[in-house]
Amino acid sequence: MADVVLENLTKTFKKRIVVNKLSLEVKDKEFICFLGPTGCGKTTIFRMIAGVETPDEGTIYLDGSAMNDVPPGERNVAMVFQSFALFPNMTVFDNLAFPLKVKKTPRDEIKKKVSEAADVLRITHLLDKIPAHLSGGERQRVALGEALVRNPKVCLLDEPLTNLDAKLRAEMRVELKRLQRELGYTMIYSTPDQIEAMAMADRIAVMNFGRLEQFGTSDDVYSRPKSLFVAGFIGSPAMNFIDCTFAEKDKQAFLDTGVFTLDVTDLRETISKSNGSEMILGFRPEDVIISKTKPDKNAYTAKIEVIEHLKPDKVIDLDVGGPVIKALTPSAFEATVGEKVWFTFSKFHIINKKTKETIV
Amino acid sequence: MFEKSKTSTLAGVLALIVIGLVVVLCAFPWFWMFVSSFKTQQDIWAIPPNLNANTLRNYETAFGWWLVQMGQLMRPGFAFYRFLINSLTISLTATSVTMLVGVPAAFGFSRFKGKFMADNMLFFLILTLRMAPGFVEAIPIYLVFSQSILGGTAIPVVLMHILFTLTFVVWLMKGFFDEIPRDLDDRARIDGCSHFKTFRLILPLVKPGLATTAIFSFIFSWNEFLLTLLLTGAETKSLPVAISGLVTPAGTYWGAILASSVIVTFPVLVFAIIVQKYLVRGLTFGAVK
Repeated sequence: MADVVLENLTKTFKKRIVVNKLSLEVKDKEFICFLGPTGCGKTTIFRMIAGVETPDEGTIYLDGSAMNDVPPGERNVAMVFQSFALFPNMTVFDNLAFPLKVKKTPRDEIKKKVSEAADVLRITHLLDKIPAHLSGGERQRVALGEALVRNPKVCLLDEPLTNLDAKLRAEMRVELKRLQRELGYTMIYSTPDQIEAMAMADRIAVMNFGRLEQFGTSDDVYSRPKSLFVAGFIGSPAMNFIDCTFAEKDKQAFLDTGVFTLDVTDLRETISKSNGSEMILGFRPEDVIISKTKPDKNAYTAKIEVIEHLKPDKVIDLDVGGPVIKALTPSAFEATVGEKVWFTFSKFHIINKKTKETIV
Repeated sequence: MFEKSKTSTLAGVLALIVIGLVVVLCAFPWFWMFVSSFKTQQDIWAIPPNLNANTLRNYETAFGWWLVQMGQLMRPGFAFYRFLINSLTISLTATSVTMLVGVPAAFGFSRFKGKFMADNMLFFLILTLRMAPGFVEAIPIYLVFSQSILGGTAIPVVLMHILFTLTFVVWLMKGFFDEIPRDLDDRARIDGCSHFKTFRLILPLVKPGLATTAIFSFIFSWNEFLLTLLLTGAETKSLPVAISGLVTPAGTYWGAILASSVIVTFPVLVFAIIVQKYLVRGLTFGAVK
C-alpha cells in the first residue's frame, strides 16, 4: 500500500522511443488504468516499475524512495501478466507458494497465506492441479493469487483480462474492483479497452506512442479530452470529427466545415488565441440530436445512409453532404434509410488541427 | 467417399514401401555387421551369403588382439576394457563440460540479447567454430599439443570435442530457451529470484532440449575419429581408433573389427532408443517457428 511517482521516464529500444518523458503520480490505494493501443509502451512502463527493465532516463519512486537501483525482488511490487506466467511444471499450490518460498517463509505460514488467498479467489479446489488442466479464468485467478499472497505495496496488472472471453471479462472486472477496494491495494492496470478503463479506474492515463496524453478521471477524459487522440479514443462509438476553417467576419466568428457553418461567436476569443485557422470540429454520437422537422436554430440537413441496430440503441450514419457522421439514438427512434432529416449537437469540441490540442 | 479411401490407402501403402526401403537401407549395414560378428572368417565372405551365426571366436579375438598389441600379457579382455574406459572418459567429460558451459551460455544469449557487449559477435563466433572442417585445424592442433605437457593425456582430445559440440549445444539450446516466454523469467525475478535461480527454474522446462543436445554431443564424441586419432596415444586412444588399428599391414582382422564395432555402436543405439521421442521433438523444435 503505497504511492507511486514516475518522473520523466524514458526508454528507447534501438532508436525507437518507447516511453517518452512520462511523469505521473499514483496515490496510495488508488486504482489507476493505463489506457492505450497495443504497442504504446504500457508493458514497458510496468516492467520498469517492477524492475526487470531499466529506464534510460527518469526516476521511479515507490513510497517516496527512489527505486532505480533496487533489484526487482526487493521492490515489493507484484505483477500479473497478460499470459499469466504460471510455471507449467508446478501445481497451483506451488505456484502460489512460490514467492513465499523464495523469501524463505516458514512452511506453516506459507500454507496459511496460500489458503487465505485461495479462499478469497475461490480456487481452493484447484490447489493440486497443474496449470494445463485449468480454464482461462481459473489460470487468471491463480495469477492474481500469486500477487495477493505476497501482500505487495503495489499491484501491477498488465492486460490481465485480454485472454478471457467477454462474459468472463465482465465478471472479473467487477471482482477485481471489489478485491481492490476490500484489500486496499494500490493497483496499476493496463488495457487497450477504453470501456474497461472507464469502468474500473479511479483515474485513467491515456497513452499514445509512449507519451502521456492525459491523466484524469473517466469524466475528465470523456468530457474534457485534452487532445485529438484522447477525444477519438474514448467513447464508443467514437467521436465524429469534421475538418473546418475558423473565420472571423465583423464581430462574428464561424467554423466553416464545407457543408455547414457553425456560429462560434461567443468562443471567438478562445479560438483566436490558438495558432492557425485549421480546426477540427468534434462531437460525440450521443450528443447528436436528429429531428424530422426543422428546429429553430443551428440545425443542418443530412441524409440517413446506414442504420445499425445495436439494442438498446441505434447507430445512424448521416451523410451531411460529403463527410459521414454517426449519431446514437434510442432504439425506439423511427428511421428509414434515405430519409432526409435535420440534426444538431448539444455539445462539441474544437481541436487545433496542427497541434492536436483541444481548445474548447 | 469410396474413391477417397481408395486413394488414401494407395498412398498409405506407397508411403510404407518408401519408408520400408529407407529403413532397410539404413539398418541393413548394422544388421549385417551384427550377424557377421558371430560368423567364422569363411562364412563372412561366403558367396552366396549365409546366416551361419554360430561362433564367439571374433569376440575372443578382439580382446586377445589388443592383448598382443599392447605388448604385455594381461588378463584376457583387460585391454578392450581399457579402450572402452578411454572412450567413456573422453565422451562423458566432453559432454559434461559442453553442457555445463553451453547451456548457461545459451540462456545468456537467449535472455540478455542486447544487454552485453558484442553479444551478436560472440554468438556468431561460437557458430563459426563448426564451420571449418576439423581436418583444417587438425595439424596445427597436433603440433601445439604434442609438444606441451598435455601431450600424453586425453585432455587435448576432450578440449577439441568440447569445441566442436559447443556450437551445437549453444545454438540448439538457445532455440529451446527462446520458446519459453520471457514472462516466466520476469515473474521469477519480481518474486525475488536471482538470475541464477531463475535459470535453474527455467531449466526443467527445456528438458527435451537438454536430452537432445546431451545425446548428440555424446554420440559425436564417442564416434569421433580424426581428431582422436591425432591426439591420443597408445594409452589413451578411444575405441574407434583402436578398432582402426585392426587394419594392419599383416592383414585385416575382419572378425575382430566386426565384433568390436558391434560393441562400440551398441551404447549409441541404446541411447537413441531410450530418448527417441526427445530426439524427434528436439530436431523439429527449431524448425517450426
